[in-house]
Amino acid sequence: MGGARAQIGQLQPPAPARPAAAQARPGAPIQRLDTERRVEAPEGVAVALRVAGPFPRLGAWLIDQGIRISVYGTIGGVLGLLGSFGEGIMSIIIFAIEWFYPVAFELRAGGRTPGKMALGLMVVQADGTPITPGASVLRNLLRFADFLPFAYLGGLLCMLSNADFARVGDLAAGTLVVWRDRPAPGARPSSAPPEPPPLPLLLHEQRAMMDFADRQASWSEARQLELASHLEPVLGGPPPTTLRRLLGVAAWLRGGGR
Amino acid sequence: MSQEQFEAKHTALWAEVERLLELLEGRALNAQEQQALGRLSPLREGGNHGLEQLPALYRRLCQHLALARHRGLSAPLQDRLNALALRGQVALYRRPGAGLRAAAHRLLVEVPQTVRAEAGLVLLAHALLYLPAAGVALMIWAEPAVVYDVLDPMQLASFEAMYDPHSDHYLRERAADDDTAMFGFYIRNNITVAYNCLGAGVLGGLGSAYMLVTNGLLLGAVGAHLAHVGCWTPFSSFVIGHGSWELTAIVLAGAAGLRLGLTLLAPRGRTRGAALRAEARGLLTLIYGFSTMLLIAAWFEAYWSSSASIDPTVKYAVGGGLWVLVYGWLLLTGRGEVPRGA
Repeated sequence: MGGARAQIGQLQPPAPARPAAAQARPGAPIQRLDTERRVEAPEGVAVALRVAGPFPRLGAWLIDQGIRISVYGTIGGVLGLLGSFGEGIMSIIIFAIEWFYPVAFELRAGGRTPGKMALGLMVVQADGTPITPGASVLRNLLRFADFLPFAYLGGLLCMLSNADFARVGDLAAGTLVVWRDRPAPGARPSSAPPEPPPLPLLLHEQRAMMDFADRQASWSEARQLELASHLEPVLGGPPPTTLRRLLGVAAWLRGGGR
Repeated sequence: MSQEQFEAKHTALWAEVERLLELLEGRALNAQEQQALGRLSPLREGGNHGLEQLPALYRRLCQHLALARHRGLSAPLQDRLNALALRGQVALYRRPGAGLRAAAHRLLVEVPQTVRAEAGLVLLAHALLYLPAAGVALMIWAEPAVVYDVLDPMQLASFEAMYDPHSDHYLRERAADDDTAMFGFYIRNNITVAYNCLGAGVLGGLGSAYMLVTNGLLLGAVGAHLAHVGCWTPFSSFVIGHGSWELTAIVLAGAAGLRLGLTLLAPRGRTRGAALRAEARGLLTLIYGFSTMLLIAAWFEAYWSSSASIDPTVKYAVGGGLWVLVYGWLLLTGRGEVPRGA
């Protein structure tokens, strides 16, 4: 592999400035600004958890709140016909729903209230295992602490002060709100004719090229050309040719033509 | 093996894992399914939809994820496998029942132990609440006009109206929905007071002390004044029931606030962040304890204390019993038990 590095160096004499991450020595820690958090699964693989930030969680909360309010409206309408007895029942139902709606859904539906389902979120323990009943009760009991002084401001400040976007209840219960699925990946890679790379590539270089091919359909053509043009010294130009060859190399790396 | 071959070879397995996960998610398992998942050797039975295969398939999938990472296969593929692995872990590693026991343990063992570990601050918080209350009550008993130094006349009039046996408002039997409306109101009100006691502790504990003293003054002034104008029985029989939970919860919130303030003020050689993290567990246990107590208090306040159909004698007896219960819980339960995670 050392030979491969030297070869790249020879091929591009007026080396354009490479990004710092690419220049890092192998094994040197790269400072990642990311919401990904890896936990070891018992099956011997590190599962990546992507913690969700305040905005998707606000959306989930709004949906849940809407559902609760419409449930109260419906039940209230029916029980209202029963007079004061109905009102008594109603009061108990409201109490139960206010307090146990999140707990019930988190425990029965895999850590997801309807709002979280709609946004593709779920609550898990910090080690990636399912949320336990105790943790669910605790994180929802402490909603009050997060709500204060008003409109979940305390919870928001708490979320912004730690890397896991944990509100007070999450910190106490050791839980995380994570994305359950990534949003569906974009279009499949282009059907460029595969061609072998002009020189041996390091693993992360292969990976970068394949990622580029996976995502290029979501960018404008000008942006594709601009990004591809960084590889002009290696793949040859002008940019449209570089782009075509880059996609070809990516297809080759993926296994096309072999 | 190239990525395309890898995908072609295993994509059926991944789809099968996804199908089984869809089947499992969003509901609790019935006994038969639990049994199927727990089996080591696949046993064909009707109605399981192949669930008995899931653990084995899931382990294969985890191996595929490890391979995909190691070989640097494309990001969408890794993400897809990762999402399935995470969902599989959540679906397979459920721990039925154990959590409720943990919640009870926290309440019956950890909360009292933490309170006793903080005995000094808890005593101080008691003093900060009850000494001003007793002091101002004595002063009003000696010189009733002092009450106007503590409360403004409007506030006082509304308190009098609430407890005056001859007033229209006095403890009428409310409809159940009013009780519940009051329940919601009490929870919000009490929680706000308690969390203010806690949050004000950020100011080196002085804020908590201030909140405790002002609440104590209010309590003492209202009590003494109502006794003076002849409304002692309605007031005391109203307060005694939920007071055990509510006042003690406020004391604990104040103690937690004092601890918070002391930690920030004197981090004892740690950085303030490290000191806070070290104290967080105890603080959160206290918060859990007093939040639960406030819930209980609000229930009593709305459905029990305000009920006019219950004789004051009964209210005194039950209220006294509740005070014994609360302090018995805090002082006696959980002695000799090992804290979890210790």
